[in-house]
Amino acid sequence: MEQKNHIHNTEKLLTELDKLHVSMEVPYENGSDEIWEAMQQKMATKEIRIRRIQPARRRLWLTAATVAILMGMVTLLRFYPHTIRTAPGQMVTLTLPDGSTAALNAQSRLTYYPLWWSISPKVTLTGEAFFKGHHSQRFSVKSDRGTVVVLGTSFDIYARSDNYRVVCFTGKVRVTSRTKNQIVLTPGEKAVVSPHGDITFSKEIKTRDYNAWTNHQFVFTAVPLASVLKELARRYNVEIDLKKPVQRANYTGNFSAEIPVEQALNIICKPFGLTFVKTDLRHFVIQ
Amino acid sequence: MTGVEFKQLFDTHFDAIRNYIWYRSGNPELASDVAQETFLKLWEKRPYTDKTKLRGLLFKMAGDIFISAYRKQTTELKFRMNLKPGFENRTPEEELHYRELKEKYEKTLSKMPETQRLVFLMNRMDKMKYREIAEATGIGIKAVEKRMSQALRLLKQEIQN
Repeated sequence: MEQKNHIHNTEKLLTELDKLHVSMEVPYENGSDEIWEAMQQKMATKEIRIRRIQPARRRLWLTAATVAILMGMVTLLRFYPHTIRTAPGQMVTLTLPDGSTAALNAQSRLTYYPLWWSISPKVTLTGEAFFKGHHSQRFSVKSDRGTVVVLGTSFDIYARSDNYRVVCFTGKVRVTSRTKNQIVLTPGEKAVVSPHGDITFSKEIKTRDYNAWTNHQFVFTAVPLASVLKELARRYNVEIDLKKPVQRANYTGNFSAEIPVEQALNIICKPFGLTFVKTDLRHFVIQ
Repeated sequence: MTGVEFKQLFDTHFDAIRNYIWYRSGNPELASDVAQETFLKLWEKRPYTDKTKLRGLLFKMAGDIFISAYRKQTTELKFRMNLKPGFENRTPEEELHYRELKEKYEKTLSKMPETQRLVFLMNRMDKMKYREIAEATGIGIKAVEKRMSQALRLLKQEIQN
């Protein structure tokens, strides 16, 4: 046959090969059906593996979400603050969550975390406050220079930039300075903490003088004139300028805080031979 | 992807995928293994792909599995095909002619570069259009045409002489 060995053009070659293709097959051992059967088992194990993974992953997400929400709630409980401020000339008495009371002197700030109170009763104070508690209460009052842990009692804290002073009236309090110096005060004892954290301790003092302010009384015992004037300014919400420097001017005396400011200034200025002028509605200059 | 959908996918594409690897490797057992692995992998991953893209994805996966796991093993290429039953119904002359042609054809396929062989067999045996071949193999239609003509030239040269 001629065509047997000579296929001349491309078209003819392709036709011949296609005829061959029809009657040829790749020598696969297994048909696709058999392979499908063989695959079934492997598919089942993969499916089981997948089914096991997915709920675990979902549980992981659920756990993560729950933890996040819980942490958010704890953070809210922990840091939701309650702050009370008093303006100059203003005094406030408030009740803390445990039922103890705190009298806040003028120009003071007290902060606590009401929702966190049952876990950790803590108060932050700047200014002056007189605390009166029950014996079972054990909260702490933190200020710049130190912390007072209440061992059940009443006490006065003066925590301003010029001084830090704790006076114990009844019960017991523990004062800790920033530098971890510690002292336990019993009634009639006073601790003053210096800016460096040193604690000065005094015994048998007249405690009543230290919370006289809660009864609208001024009691000064050898207090520097500058401090006396500052206290006056805070309580009357006025400004007082001391224009004339006074040597060793410590003031001792007591008078009501309910008298007019002019009268109070008069009482203080007299012993030092000073006079004052009212320059403005709320402004006094001492010469 | 449900089991039924997967079975449908398997029935539609398994042969093409297996042939694809066979065209590249000339090894029927290897082609079966790679194709099976490809489908198992698809079942395991179950990608949320557009269904129209699944075929292309299967070719891509099969090619990757073939290259990463089996490429180095391939030693000698032998393209042996079986003649289907019923072939004997032809005349003895015809039968002889086709047996000779088959032998030459198989030899030429073994010699042919992989890229040309792949394109040629996909077109002639699986009846895939140039566009489909281009999509499956990730080359351009122009490249498919070029490889086809190169393959034909080689076949002509080898079979005629």
